[in-house]
This record gives sequence, C-alpha cells and structure tokens, in this order.
Amino acid sequence: MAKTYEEINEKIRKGKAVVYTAEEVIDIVREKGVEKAAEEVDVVTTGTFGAMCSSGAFLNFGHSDPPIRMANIRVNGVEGYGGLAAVDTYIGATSLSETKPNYGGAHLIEDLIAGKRVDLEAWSPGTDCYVRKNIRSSFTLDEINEAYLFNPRNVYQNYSIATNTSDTTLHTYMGKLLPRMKNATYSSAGQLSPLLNDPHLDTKGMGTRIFLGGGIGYVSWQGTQFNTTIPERNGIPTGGSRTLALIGDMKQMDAKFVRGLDIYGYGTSLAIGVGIPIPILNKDIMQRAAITDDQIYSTMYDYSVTSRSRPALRQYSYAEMKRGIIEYEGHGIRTSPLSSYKGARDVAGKLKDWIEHSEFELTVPSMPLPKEGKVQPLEIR
Amino acid sequence: MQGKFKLIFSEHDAQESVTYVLVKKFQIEPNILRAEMDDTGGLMVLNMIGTEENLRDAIKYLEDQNITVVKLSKHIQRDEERCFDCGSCVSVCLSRAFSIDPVTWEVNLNYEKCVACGSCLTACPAHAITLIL
Repeated sequence: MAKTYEEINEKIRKGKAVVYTAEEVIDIVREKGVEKAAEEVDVVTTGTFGAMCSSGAFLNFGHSDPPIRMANIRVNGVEGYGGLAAVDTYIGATSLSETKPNYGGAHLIEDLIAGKRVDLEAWSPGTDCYVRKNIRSSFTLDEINEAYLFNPRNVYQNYSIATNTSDTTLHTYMGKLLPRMKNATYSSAGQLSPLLNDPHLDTKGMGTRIFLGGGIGYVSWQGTQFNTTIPERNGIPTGGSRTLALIGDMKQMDAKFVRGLDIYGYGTSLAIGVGIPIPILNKDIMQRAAITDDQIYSTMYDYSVTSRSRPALRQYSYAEMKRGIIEYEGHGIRTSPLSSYKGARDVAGKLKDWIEHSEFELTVPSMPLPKEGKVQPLEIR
Repeated sequence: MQGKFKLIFSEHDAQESVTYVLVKKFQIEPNILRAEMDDTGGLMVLNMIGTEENLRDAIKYLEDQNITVVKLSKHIQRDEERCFDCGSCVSVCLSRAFSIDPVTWEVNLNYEKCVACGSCLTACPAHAITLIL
C-alpha cells in the first residue's frame, strides 16, 4: 500500500507519524517483514557526522559609514572571497588563517555558530561610490545580515577505505596512515548514512528539507563530482559516488554539530552533522532504508600511490570495518572510522525527535537529481 | 605493583646508568617508554614493576642521584568538549589505550594502557588530546 508525502505530513502535523532511525528500523523490518513495516513506518531518519571539506559560508557584513567595496577580506586571518558585491563574501572550510596556527575557515564557521566575536579586516582600491579603502572591525553572527552555509559537496554516498603500503607514515585527508598497512581508515556512517539508505535517490531532490548542523537546511543541487558509474554490490555503490550540495541558515545551527577540524599534514576541514529523512512511500523504499552494514561494501585503496588512479586492494563490508580489525592476505589491519558514528546517531535521533514533535515536515522535491553522472579528469594540455 | 614515572635528569647526572641499577639492586622490571636528551639534561618515561618496598627504595635511590621523579597519572588528557568520538585515534594507538565502545560508539580512553608514545596527537583532527610530560 503506497503512501503520499501529504499523508505522511498530515500524520506529522497530528503528532502521529511513526518514525525510526535507519538503525532502529533494521529490526522492525526483520521482525515484521518489509510489507508490514512499509505500512506502519512513515519516516526513516538517517544521519552522518564527518569531515566534509567542500563546505563554506556566505556572509553579508552590512555597510559601514562611509561604505567600502571589500576586495581583500580577512576574518580571523582567514581569507574571504572578494569577488562578489561590496559586503558579500564566501569563506571556504579549508582556507587557512594567516595569523592563527591550526585555524581555518572551518574553525571560523564553528566560532561564529558558537556565538564568538571574530575580527574583520578588509581593503579596497576605493571608488567614487565606495570611498573607504580600509576597515577594521569585529562582529558576531547575530550582528551581520545573512549567514548561510552553502556546501558544494557533502554526504558522499560511500567512500574509499584508505591504507598505506609504503615504509613511512602518511598524513592524509583520510587521517594518519601507518607504514606497511598497520592501519586502515574509513569515513561513512554505513547503515545510518543518508545516501546509502536511498541509493538511487528516489526520495531526494532539489528542495528536500534536511537537518544541517543542528538547523533546518535544504538540498539545493547535486553535489560536485556526482558519480553514478561505480559498480554496485547489493544495490549499493562500492565507493564514493553520489553527492549533494546543501544549504542552510547558520543562525539556526548548533556548534555541537559543526566542528572545525585540523587534519595534521593536510589542513582544515569541517565536520558537519547532516540528517536526511526518508518518507516510506512504498515497500521498495522501506527495503532499501533497512540496509545493514554487512550488505554495504567499500573498496580499500593504497594511499601511498600518489597518482590519481590508486590501486584497489580489496573490498570490505562496513560490518567488517566496524569490528576494528580486517584481514588482508593473512595479516590483520586495525581500522579507524573518521566520521563519528555516535554523532551520526545523535543527528538521526534529533531529526526523529523533530518529526515526532511536529517540528519538521517533509518536502516534495521540486526537481529530481540526475539519474546519471560521471567524473571527468583534468587533463594537462 | 607497577607505575609510570617521569625521570628528569640535569646535565650533571646524565651519566648514571639508572635502569641497570634498578634491575640489579632493586629487582625492578623497567620498561623505557620514552627517553630524550639535549644540552640541558634529559627526560625518561619509565614503567616500573616491582614489590611495593622495592619500588619505594628505587625511587629513593633515584632521588638521591638528584633525579626528579614524578609519578605519572593522567599524563594523557582529552578535552571532552573537543572530542566528537570520531575514532581517528583508535587504529594508531599501539598500546590500545583508545577503543570504541561497540554499543555506544563512544571512544574510550584507558589511562593505564597509555605508554605516552604520542602517536594519537597527530591523528586527532579535533586537537582534543594533550600529552603532559
């Protein structure tokens, strides 16, 4: 029996919606069978909380008197893009501060959301309409006009497992990789992850309302490097594939779910909690939302190879990865997650709570995401 | 009994072969976890196993050699506000002081197991860990 978005929203408004997290619903489907579960369950909430480098903030500072058309912008020493209108800027998560060590755009974003006061300095050549050439001031998130995260690539659908076959320790965006395959790292919430529970994005599109960093956000476009060509196992891509571009108001966010990271030897990145609801419209959607870690596989690559095409070594399920040790050609490799599964649970739990308390309704996507996408290399010509 | 100790040597007493004396005279089972030296003196982090009496006498001997002995406890500290339980530290921790609780998925830190190697310091993206030596 199929349901509609409107029927689900009506139940949400009445406080009668049946909501489970993508982890809790596994047992429901196991006990009741997929048909009965699809009838009973209205929404499944997903969550993830890990580093997402392709994230950043649009800010509008407001005009000083006399005003300035900011061309060169620093906030806590972090460069903001100066190629927009007078007092608009974009600050990316990986932009490093020129004045504060181990601090970048990601930390600035966290500080702003935490309500901290930050320093602004900007320069301009000066124009007849914007005569000021330099400004030094400070501000908090409350004191500026708009502030929203716009993240071109978030919630990767699956991601590689990283290891290192070389004789020296590597410091990568996949964390610290010990020599001679002494460890391996992975970065996905697996069975709780938003895009693994709806692998062909049947319920997602532009305008899908989501949990973003503790506030309400939206899916605004497909993410960059959107890829549908990765081979599947159990209907799930076995490596990084689909991605989403997300947008959300920073003023609603909670610094608990937006964390500045400094990855040694790599640079800064932003950990964000993202949760996406899945409306259980039919039994196929229910089946896919009940996916378990033992059915989701990823591919382990050798990160000591510096070429774009790293050799694939083997595939492992997330159930294997989460046991803390995997076996490769007769020896054990210890594993570390890089994204917080506890954080992913908190996100999915909080979104569930919102929906149960009628604080969050589902949106019908205004346009579906592409059915196909491939990643093109940059050729050196 | 056992404990982890920080031994601080001045440049004068760096010649003394203290671990040899600890074994020979006090039947201590020492495990050198860290040793470094520069022109101002040196520092050694030592795990010592022995009877209560032998440990007490061994520490007195070290102090008589003008070596400053500090018992380490909570030499590794974690900022609970910064840690978001990602788990990056777990697989680089050779002594397995960090582990993930399979039920709550919280990252646990067993202070007793930590050998103060410092490997986790460059693995933690949240800068939540400090080693106090």
